Amino acid sequence: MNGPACCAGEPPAPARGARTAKVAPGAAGSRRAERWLLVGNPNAGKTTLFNLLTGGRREVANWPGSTVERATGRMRAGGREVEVVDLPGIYSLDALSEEERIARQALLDEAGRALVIVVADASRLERSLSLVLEVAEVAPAVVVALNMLDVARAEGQEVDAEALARELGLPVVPLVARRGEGVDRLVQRAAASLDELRRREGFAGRRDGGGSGASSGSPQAPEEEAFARAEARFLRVQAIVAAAVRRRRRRATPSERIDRWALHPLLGYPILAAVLAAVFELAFAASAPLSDEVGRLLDVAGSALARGLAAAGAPVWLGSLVRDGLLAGAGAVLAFVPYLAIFYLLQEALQDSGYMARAAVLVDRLMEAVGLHGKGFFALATAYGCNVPALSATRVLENPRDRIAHELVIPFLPCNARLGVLLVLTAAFFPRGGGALAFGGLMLLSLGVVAGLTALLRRTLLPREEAPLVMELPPYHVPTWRNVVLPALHHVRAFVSRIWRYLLWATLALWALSALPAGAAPAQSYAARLAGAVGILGAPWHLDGRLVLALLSGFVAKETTLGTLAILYGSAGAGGPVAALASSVSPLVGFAFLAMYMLYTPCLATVVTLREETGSARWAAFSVLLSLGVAGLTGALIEQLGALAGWAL
Amino acid sequence: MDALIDGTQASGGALPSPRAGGGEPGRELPSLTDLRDGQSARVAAVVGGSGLRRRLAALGVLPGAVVCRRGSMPAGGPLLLEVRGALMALRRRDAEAVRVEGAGGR
Repeated sequence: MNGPACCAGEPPAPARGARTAKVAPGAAGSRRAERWLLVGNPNAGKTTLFNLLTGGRREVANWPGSTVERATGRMRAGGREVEVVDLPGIYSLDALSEEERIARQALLDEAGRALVIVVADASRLERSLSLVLEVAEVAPAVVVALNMLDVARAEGQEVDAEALARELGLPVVPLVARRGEGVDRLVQRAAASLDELRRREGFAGRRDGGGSGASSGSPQAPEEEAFARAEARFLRVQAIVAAAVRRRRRRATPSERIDRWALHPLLGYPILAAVLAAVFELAFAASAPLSDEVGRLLDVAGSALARGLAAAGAPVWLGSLVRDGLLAGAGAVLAFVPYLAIFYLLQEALQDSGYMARAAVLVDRLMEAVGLHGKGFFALATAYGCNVPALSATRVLENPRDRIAHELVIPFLPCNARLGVLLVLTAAFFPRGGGALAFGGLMLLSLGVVAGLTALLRRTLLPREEAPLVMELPPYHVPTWRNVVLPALHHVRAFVSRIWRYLLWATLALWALSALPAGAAPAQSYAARLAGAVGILGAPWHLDGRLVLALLSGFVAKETTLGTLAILYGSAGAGGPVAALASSVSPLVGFAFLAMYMLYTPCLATVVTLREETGSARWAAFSVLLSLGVAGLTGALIEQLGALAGWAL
Repeated sequence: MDALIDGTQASGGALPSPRAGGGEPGRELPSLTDLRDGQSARVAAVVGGSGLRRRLAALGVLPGAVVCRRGSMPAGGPLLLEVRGALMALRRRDAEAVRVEGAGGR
């Protein structure tokens, strides 16, 4: 369901990715669905308009050869079949970022065929118009959707759409996308513009070769010339604004009044702390019980099924396969869903409201000190809930190297599942106090690893990029449900469809290890035998095979660690498996085990997401090796130092 | 906006004395970091590498643009700047690259 969205309902011949060749002359008949491209600055309301046009049904794939999302949707307008493409939000067509390169290429490839709607933000008109002029240079059919007129008015600016259209020489349609006003007129105007383009170009006279080749094939013009063109463009923009915008006495806008508090150099921080506390409290309060409930329901269903099978005379192992294999696998997938849904919802809401950008500015100095960026702060904070949405949250960072630096350190922050296991085991290893201290030490350790590792990465593989990250502070607005719920749902669906195979197979493998050979006692299971064999792996850290096996099984899903330990230590005497576990190792080795458990390879879902978000299996593999290395070294270091300090191993 | 436009005309703002600069044009001018909160100035030059200059150019931070420093974050944190009607933040090290003239305003 997540296949290349670009192929749905289309004749297969003309490939239509961003970097594909132009369609052969005559191949595209007039019956072909027409395409409208949406372009605009970030936060100009482009996605809001996309949702209005398409009813929010978006098919998402990646642009070929990139990790940038390509969202398309369909709409009907007066008997026309239209495919709407949401190009990435950009400030210019300068091909500095991947987003800009993609937008530029898409515009060049589609020039002469597609209609381009540039979404302009009336409250930040100069920046929008600069992009309009740049797009009009490469695209022959452009309509300007003049959005946020209400915001501009609140700021004391009256934008005259007709004057603007005259000055630009392009159709301009006023729009309040958040309230859906002006969309019908925009659609009419866009359709008319495209018809006009078709009359001009004619269906036979395609623009391949000469027309667009001149601009698409040529390398980037010399730098100084590009700067001169940008200056000239902004000068023209200033003249256009002078003719089309009337300024009344400037008033403080609601956003400015909020920012007096939210961006206050001192009070901004307690406000940020309060917002984050509220958000994460909400996230955990709402998601943890839901996750538990999902697990409980699957348990009940599994037991009922197993009983049914037993009653029907099926062998015991079959019931166990259904209950502990299949349904546990489904549980491993579904356990993610409440966390993901709620974190993505909060993330989108914070982003859409405009507060996320303020938080980035507030914490940037702190993040800068360790080589990270304020824009990555929320991603890192989210990691304590679940690493999967944290990895997707790094998309706000424009520079690929910055993004990878954040993605590589996120797995060292313990997610909620790891935190839960750590809490239980810390209590077990330190029954006579000291648990709180140990747990606090673990948390500091993870932060220290993040800081140390970033410093190392910045000096070696991922030096700082020269281009600064754009920290724009858009006006605040109340998030709309379309802008929040739809992307959140999409993220969850994409995750589940990507991950379920992996998790199901991994859970089945775990089941096979612990339940086979059929009818054997736990001590005779393959898992127990394997524990004997893998014991040698744990020897350098004084870990026995059972602990090693618990680490290995944690790779499938961190929640399973306690279950595995319970199976392995279950028969080891009174007081339950946890007490048996605690008495089998010294506090020092226990603490080293906890540190290694916290730092070693994140779960399968995180690795798969890393591969997806970095766009490369190599980075995912690197991350796995990195975390194994860091965990191994840290564990050894803790034991050596502890032994030197006189603790028993 | 009125404040910005006024700012460009007034030129009595006290700025630190121009520093001795290298060969690059504009190096000797004060930068955004030398403005006080609330002060506006006109961009004279953007110095530094091309990645930095290109990204700032895309945001309209080009010679001739008027920039108002709206505030700053503590401990050497980013500056809040109003450029072409939009609010943005820039790290000090990057703001250092934006050389200005004709500072004025509050």
